[in-house]
Amino acid sequence: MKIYNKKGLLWGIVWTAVGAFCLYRDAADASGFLPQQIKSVVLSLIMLAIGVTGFVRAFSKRASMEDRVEERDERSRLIRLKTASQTLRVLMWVQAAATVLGLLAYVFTENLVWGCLFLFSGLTITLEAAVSIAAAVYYEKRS
Amino acid sequence: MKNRVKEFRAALGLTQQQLAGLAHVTARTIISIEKGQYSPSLLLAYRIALALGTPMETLYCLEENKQQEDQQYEDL
Repeated sequence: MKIYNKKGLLWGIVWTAVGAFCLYRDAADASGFLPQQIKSVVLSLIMLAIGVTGFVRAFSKRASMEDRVEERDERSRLIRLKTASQTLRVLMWVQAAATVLGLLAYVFTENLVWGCLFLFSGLTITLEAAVSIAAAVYYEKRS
Repeated sequence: MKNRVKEFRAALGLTQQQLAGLAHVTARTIISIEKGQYSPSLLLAYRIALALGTPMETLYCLEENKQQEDQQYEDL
């Protein structure tokens, strides 16, 4: 049998291994709370199904071609880029709000927890801005 | 961007899935292009034009789209 999608095969093996391990753990430890166990078994079976599907698809030429087309599809790539960009933008606004609120709360209450929130949010937002500038310079030169 | 992909595809009796297969993209991309929601890259536009056997200028209404964009620039 020829492997057409090595990456898919690797992910298939990983998912199958994790699913099988979780299923084994659930079966070995049957003393837990029943609804929790059912949830855990269902999740394990889903992981196992994903793994086996990926494993089988890696040996099929047609399925591997479909996976490759899906992965390289330019609209899908654009959507992934836009999603990542929008997520980052929203997170930056949330962090900016947390920074301002943290500062205001610290000024009014002098509680160190708010000061830490202000410092942490401020530092992360500065780091994000620096990475964003570096990435922009990099892509400006390369594109 | 306005285009006539749907019209030419239907004339050839191709499904969206078949055209997607010929252009090496997903059917969702073809649907988006036909609806005018997504503008394809130059290479994909060329692949689709080849698959449909139509010049790109006709398929993507280039003159009409250019005039529309020119108008938008003039309105600025």
